[in-house]
Amino acid sequence: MGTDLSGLRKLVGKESGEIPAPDKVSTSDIRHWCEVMDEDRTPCHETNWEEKHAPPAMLMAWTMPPLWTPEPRATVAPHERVLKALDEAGYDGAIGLHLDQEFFRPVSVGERLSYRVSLDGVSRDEVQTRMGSGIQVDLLYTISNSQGDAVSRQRYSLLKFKTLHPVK
Amino acid sequence: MPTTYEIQPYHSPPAPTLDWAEVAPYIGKLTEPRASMDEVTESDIRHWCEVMQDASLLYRDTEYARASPYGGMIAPPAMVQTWSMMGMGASMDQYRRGILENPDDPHHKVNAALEKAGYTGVVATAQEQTYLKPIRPGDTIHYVMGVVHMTKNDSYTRQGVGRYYVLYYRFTNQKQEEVANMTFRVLWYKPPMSTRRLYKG
Repeated sequence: MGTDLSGLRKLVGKESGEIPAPDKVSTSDIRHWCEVMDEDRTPCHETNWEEKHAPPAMLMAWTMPPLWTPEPRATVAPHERVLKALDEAGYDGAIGLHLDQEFFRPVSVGERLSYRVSLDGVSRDEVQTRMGSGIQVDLLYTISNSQGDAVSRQRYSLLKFKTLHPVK
Repeated sequence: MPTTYEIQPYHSPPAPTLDWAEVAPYIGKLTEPRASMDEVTESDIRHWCEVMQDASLLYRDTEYARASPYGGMIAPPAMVQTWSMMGMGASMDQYRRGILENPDDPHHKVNAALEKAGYTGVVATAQEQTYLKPIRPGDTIHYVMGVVHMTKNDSYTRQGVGRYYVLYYRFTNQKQEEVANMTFRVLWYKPPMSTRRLYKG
């Protein structure tokens, strides 16, 4: 223990605003994803969804933040604030625990998705794991298309833990 | 027995070198024009800029680019070669399994002759690019390439005895306008211990 997480728990239940995906859905990004996933080299473009639709399991990729930005990014969304606070409290490691995906609509090439992230929960106590002691964070992603219709809902849990040798 | 470190006695016969007749027919020959795997997209440009940490607004800000002399968003010119790169499947086939996607390409014939003659080490030594027209999102890049020059004699380098050749690339867009060209100077050398063989397979 030793870290006061009560401030973080106040953020539980809060949702971010609508965050636009950095890019439109494009065949080039779909190809890159398929190349990495298709170990047996099944031609991705021959399956019916590549023609018009992106692979559903790739949905999370469209919501991923940029690797680098010229100006430091502001942390405004509740989930970003929690993750940053945990980083500063010494929980510098992160590992995904599980991901539940629900798909409602296909995603077409050329669409610009957007998403909201709601902070579903922060574990009350430190969880003791072999990776080190950590805090579990539960997030709920709601991904929508340009018409505002929900495309998918994804529950994502991750463990922020104190690494043995801090990676800084 | 003490090792000789591959140093040959003074009166040894000269080491065999490349048979020029094997490469001569393929020098100056270019491949058929090929289209890039994808059209130019803003998302690929963003990924490239993030890795290069290139903050230019010409590549990411539509409004800024429209007011610039280019009149719209452009791709980083130095990125042009990425649109001639093969897919990951074909790369894996070539570098891990030794299966070429286009085995009849003239430059592959030159490479094969060099490898057969013992020049199994490869190191890039110089690259020069000339930019002629801006590349814009939505463009499709086509390219031709081939070996246009090779040194007639062995060069003695710190890497080993080797030959230099010049790979030439020409990039065009969907309107058949030349957007860029590139030369790539490569040293093929006889390494004391072939690192290439170590990594093969």
